[in-house]
Amino acid sequence: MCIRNPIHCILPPSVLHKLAQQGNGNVRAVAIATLELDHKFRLARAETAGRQGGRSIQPVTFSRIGGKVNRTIYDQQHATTQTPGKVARREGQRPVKDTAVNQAYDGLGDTYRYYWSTYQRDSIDGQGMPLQGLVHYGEDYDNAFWDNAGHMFFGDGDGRVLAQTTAGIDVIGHELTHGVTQHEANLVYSGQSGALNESISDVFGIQVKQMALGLDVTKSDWLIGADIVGSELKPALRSMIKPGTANKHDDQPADMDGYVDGGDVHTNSGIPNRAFAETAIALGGNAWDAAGPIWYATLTDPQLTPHASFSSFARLTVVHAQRRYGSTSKQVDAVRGGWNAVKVRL
Amino acid sequence: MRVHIKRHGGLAGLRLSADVATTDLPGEQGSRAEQAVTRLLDEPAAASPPQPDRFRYEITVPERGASITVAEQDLPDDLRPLIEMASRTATIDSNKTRSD
Repeated sequence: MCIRNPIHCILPPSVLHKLAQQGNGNVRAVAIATLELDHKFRLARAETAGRQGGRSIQPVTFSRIGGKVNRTIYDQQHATTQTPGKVARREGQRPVKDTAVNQAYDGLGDTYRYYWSTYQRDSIDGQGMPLQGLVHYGEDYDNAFWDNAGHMFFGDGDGRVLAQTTAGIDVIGHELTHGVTQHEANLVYSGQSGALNESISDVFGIQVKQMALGLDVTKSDWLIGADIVGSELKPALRSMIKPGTANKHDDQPADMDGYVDGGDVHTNSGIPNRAFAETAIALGGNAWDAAGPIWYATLTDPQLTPHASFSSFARLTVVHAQRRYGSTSKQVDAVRGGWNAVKVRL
Repeated sequence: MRVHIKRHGGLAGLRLSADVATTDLPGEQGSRAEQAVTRLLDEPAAASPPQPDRFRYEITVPERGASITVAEQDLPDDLRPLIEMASRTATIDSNKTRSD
């Protein structure tokens, strides 16, 4: 077919256009038909991409120079209103009397700084989205969350389960990273994709804390939430190196043998968490030297789909390690080692 | 109306359980809570998209043998006093089989 009619080989649009304009009768007709077919395929691909509920086309904004965080902290005054309440501290303002406000302000800044300095990611959406922290949400509210609409909510804790949630730099990084995931792979919040979503928030959350406090992989305790736990959950919410040991209620599995079918997304996240911690520790230095960028490249890879499994995520981390560092690099070995340790099939 | 409430999710991923009675709520709150639970069981509304690290409430009425799970952001206002009461008396569920 190729020899009889060159049109049926893989020809780029530019060549097809030329043939359509300058070719003789038959070649011209075939070139036009091929271009039409091409166009249909491209439309279908774009349509499919648009329907997958994942990444939207990111407009390029020329009016903004990245690298400047834009924070506003609001006081919800113990109400459960879902929209920003009283302005408590604006970007550039000096610290105020309310510790929770200052901690939220600093934590949002630390998170922004981590993403900008390591990946040149300009805020959560990569487009300089303003960061809004809403403190004193509810009464004795033992939780903190990201609302998928640009706000992070912080409860004051009940003392038993959690204490003041703004005190956790890793927690702030964790919550804001849910926003990053939403703009990237948009991992569905249940099953393995949900556990990956949770793990990614811990993976980048811990690095935000490590960077803010100058902790390398040996100095970090790899504990999530150590600064916000109440009496019942001491010493921490989760351990990334030893899942299941962080507190007396910690039921995280340390590898796939302990995977819980239908388990909460915070339970099975222990498995990919440990894979990351093992990888970073094997490589030494700071977690954001190599392990962080490999995980980030995976998160932002269009091949990571919303329903990704542990295995498909793991395979992509190996691919990205190979691309950045070479197939026979110690980075690739470390990544493989991490997933082998938790028994995720590559 | 006796209600068993389990709280799932949240940043800590902890499970809390509580047994409460709508009759324990003061004044009108009790009957409004009962109506809200009945409405949820009979006409479940479409759930909003899950918000990461928010709570999910599994509400069971033992007498009816019926259960429904509601996301925190979808909780009807009439149900909040019942949920708040449950939070104060809730115990932590543990999956741990180890006794240390």
